[in-house]
Amino acid sequence: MAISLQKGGNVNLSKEAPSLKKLVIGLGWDPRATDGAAFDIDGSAFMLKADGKVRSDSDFVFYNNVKSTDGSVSHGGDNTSGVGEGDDEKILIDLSLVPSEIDRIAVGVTIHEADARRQNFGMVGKAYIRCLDANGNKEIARYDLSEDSSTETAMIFGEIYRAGAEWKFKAVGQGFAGGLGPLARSFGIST
Amino acid sequence: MTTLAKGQRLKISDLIPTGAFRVGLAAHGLAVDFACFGLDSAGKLSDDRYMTFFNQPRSPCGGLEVCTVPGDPDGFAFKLASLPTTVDRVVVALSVSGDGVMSALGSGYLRIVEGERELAHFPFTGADFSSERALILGEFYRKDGGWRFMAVGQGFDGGLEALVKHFGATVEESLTPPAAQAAKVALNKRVEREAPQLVNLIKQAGVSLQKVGLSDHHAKVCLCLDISGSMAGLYRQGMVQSFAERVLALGCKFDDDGAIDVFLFGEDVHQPVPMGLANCRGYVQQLVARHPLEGDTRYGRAMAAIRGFYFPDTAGGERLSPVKAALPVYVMFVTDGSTSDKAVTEKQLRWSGMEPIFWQFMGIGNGRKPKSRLLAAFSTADFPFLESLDDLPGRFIDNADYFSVSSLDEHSDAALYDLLMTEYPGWLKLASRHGLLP
Repeated sequence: MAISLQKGGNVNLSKEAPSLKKLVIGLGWDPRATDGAAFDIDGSAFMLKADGKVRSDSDFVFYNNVKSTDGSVSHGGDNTSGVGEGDDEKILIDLSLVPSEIDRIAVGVTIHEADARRQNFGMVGKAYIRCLDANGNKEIARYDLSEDSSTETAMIFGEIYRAGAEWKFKAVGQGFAGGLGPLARSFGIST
Repeated sequence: MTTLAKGQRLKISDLIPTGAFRVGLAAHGLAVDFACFGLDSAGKLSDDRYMTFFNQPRSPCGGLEVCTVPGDPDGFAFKLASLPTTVDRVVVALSVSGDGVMSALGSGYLRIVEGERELAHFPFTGADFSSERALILGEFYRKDGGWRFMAVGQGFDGGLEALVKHFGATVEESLTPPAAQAAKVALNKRVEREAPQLVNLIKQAGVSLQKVGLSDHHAKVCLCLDISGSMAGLYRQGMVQSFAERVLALGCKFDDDGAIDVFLFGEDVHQPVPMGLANCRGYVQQLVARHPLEGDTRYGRAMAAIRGFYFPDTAGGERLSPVKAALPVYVMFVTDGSTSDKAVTEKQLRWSGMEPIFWQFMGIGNGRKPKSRLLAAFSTADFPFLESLDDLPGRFIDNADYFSVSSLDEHSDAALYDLLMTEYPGWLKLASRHGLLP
């Protein structure tokens, strides 16, 4: 069963799900029912070295760079309105393909043009981000963005990191000012 | 005290364990109406009695009630514990009651007050919005066994109707009734504010409509007034004004926009601005000031103009095949004398037989022809031509009725509305059977 994580809590993925090979980061929200700019939530992944920085810009996987060069992290495609059943966006992480020099993978969630559109997670209906085992779609961790991060526009959801030969997941749940650009720069992306 | 931003949440049950508090509301710079909607877990207004507003000020359970909050223009009292479990959330909304969009708002706020203590304040201004005409300000909702509040500040360009549609019943139950009801309610409120002299008239019209099964009927209403010189006395005495108000009241029952189209005819035809709630006071006086009475009386010209206005394709000319429309047109045609273009008038009425227009002719004169055929034989009709129109042969369907009055105020409101609904309901059925109406 899914482990309910508190902010900062972590789970040993290799122990909880010994057969775990692929992780799915799922992102979902309700499309906007009221009039005005659509809600567009984006998920992104940063493949980081031990120093907390990317090797190059291609380690930043998001809607404009949907696959890392090694193929370990891929983005399922951009949903710009939340229309559709189930997870509206997915990022797939194949742990077996992650190069050894990558120490951890940070997962971020942002609202596209949040400032210009004056939006935050709380304005979006039923917004969440979650982490699942691709095999059987078992949920490992989840944040209710609408409820728990209602005034945020960008957040570091969690980190998948190496602990020796094992993989762990840490629920970070930390708001981040400024959106995707500043978030990416903080990981050493040169945009 | 917490100042809330759009999207921000608040655990009400932690702040106010009793669940009893008031919500104070203000929206300056626009005429608006506030309302609370008690919705089910699907976000729908499954029980109309949980729309709480000026006209339905208390929910059946008493958990929601219109109240005064000192210092605030509007307010609601909440007793969350009294709400049935079927009410999963309560939305606080506002809609513009006249013209204008939310960007024209000055400042406004929603605040949560327990006793004298202000616990939360959600400010908003017109700059937060654009073309919305209705807004959801905030929402109290059940979560994890308690109640929470969220500041929403999102809305609908389509106004109250769009809002109610958003909360509308499920598809099987049809979306329109609550929306139609809300539009009706909004109109009633406008009447109370803008034209209170119509309130009783509208009620009276409603009684007559109910008798003939037209309570929920929709139609366009047109008033066609004779402005030939002989009408001078009636205009001067204000009789035409009061009569026009009686027709406007009928228009308010048939049409949610609270206005009727007006045509004037003598020698020529004129179409002034429609008569509505906002301009109905002194409306006829202004008409006469702008359109001096004329020397001739030509029904046919007026009818051509009216036909051309509602069904422009023939420009008021000959119609060879039936035309269909979603809404019928009810024309109240008022004259005090005969016409000088009888042949044209007859043609017009025949052509119009293929259009969803009903002509209710009313002749004003000193004597009148009894409705009874037997008595009629012994009296002289003041309007033999109008009467002949009523039975004019060669029409697609019978599209006219005629009666005469000795004076414009001869009948009580109730009797007048009954008279206006003598043949119209039958024509509606006929028109629908002949493909002029759905």
